[in-house]
Amino acid sequence: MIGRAAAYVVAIGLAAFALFPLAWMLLSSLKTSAGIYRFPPSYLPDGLSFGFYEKVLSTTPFLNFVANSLIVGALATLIGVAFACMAGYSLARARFRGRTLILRAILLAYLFPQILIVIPLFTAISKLGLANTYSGLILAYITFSFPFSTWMLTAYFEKIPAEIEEAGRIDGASNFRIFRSLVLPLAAPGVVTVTIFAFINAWNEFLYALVILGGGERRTLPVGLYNFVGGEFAQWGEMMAATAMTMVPSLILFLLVQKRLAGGLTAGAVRG
Amino acid sequence: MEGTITAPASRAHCEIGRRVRRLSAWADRRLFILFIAPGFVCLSAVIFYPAIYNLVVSFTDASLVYPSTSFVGIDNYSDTVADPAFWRAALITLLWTSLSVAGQLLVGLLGALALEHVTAGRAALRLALVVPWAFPSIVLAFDWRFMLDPLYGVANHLLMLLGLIDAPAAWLSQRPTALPVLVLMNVWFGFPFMMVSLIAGLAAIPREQYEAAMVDGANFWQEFRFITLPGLARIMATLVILRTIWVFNNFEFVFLTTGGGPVDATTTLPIYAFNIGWIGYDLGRMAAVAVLMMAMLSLILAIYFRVLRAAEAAP
Repeated sequence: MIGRAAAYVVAIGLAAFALFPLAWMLLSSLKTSAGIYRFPPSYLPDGLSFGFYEKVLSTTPFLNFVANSLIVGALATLIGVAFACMAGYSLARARFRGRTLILRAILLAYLFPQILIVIPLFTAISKLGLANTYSGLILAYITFSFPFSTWMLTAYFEKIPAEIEEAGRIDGASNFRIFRSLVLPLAAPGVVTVTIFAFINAWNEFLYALVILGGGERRTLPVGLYNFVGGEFAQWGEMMAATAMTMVPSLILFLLVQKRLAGGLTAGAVRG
Repeated sequence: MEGTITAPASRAHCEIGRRVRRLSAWADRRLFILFIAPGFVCLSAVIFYPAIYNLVVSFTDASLVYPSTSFVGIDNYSDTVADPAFWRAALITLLWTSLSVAGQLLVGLLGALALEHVTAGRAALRLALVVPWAFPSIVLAFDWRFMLDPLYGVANHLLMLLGLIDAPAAWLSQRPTALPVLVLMNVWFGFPFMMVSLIAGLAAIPREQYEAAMVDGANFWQEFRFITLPGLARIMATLVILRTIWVFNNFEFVFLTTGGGPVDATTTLPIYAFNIGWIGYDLGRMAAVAVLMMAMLSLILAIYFRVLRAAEAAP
């Protein structure tokens, strides 16, 4: 009985700690200037005010940034996950020389710090004439969407019983058909999870976007926020409204997949 | 219908059909290799090529301003090793990484154990507890900077209500508090990942072990010490390794929150490297710093793996 009470105290305390920054951001974004620049702070807004949201949407290219982030995030995710489905399936099923080497190489890719990759990548992308383009950034985002997705999907594919594929083979189906019609549908939950997570990662990424897109009009949301709202001195209200709008899609997608995510992340690692 | 196709055309048609079939059969036999190829080519282009290029650049005087470059031997490395700021950044990185990972693991474990013993409302609590994980770095940085603001920050007010401080403080712009606060933020951000993974680990521990312990009259601590902790050891080791890599290499968390400041109080190695290359235009030195970072991380991981193997070998 005491154990359960203690568990509730800890869980509720931690939940308050976990939720407070989100709640504070949302509450602050709905205040007015008079409500936000005040100490001691008022905890609840005096009334709902969307002034900060209106200001962000009307005075900054916020929606432009959103569109840029959507384009880059969607394409990078699609390409990365498609390649990862293929590679993950092969690595889970085929036994060939060099398989361990490839698995190690994918793990190694995770080890390289972004800061080591970013300048050579920027130089290479510039030489290809892709600096300040969507394609350049999409290419860069494959650096994390592909290794991570392959890692997780290999674990998912390994869990699908090989007997199902045997049945297909007896019926004379080709390897490709077995993959497309039998394996892929069974792996769908894993593929959806990985897709959403890869998209969230691209949506949130900052450093590559900063270096590869510079300050141009193709800036993604994080860099746009950094330059526009964060650049000026302590415009907290606008900042909170802008970050709230950045946060919401990420949060919704994340809560959809969080349950399946953790198992996959570590399953891939343990096998390593 | 068939009569309209002349004999030679139909033979050619068959020939093409046969080739296509043979080609697709060939491709199907080699499906696995063909499936790995595109991703691996991408990976080579965007990770392994830059990594090797980086290694080469680290021996040159490449710069963002001058177009010509020449080899300078190990100058970049000797300059870096001779720079006290590099060693300060290394120390800060070690502190930042070890404290963050330890804190995340501890709070994550606490959360996982608490959720295990909660009945009503468990799903809702679990959902609330994973929220920090969903924060983009930019949102996290701005949100916390606002809460910690010396003029309007809610953190100061809460701490004053609790009687912990007398007057508002500038937490992120004072030398002694900047790094600890950054670590606290990282614990907040990272504990959900640990917690969710540990919950999965707890579920895998056989119930019978706890039942047997209950029959033997074991108390909570004994259960924790002799069943829970050993049962979670493997997953905890994996989590520590994954998070160490992530925190050690992470750039944007610190950059967006403090920019490495005040002065250099939170300048971790990635920030130090960025300042040299992107702000100071010295790409050769930045590359050398990045290589040294990789070496350090590899060394840390080698020690981890050695300790792990020793622990697994011990009964």
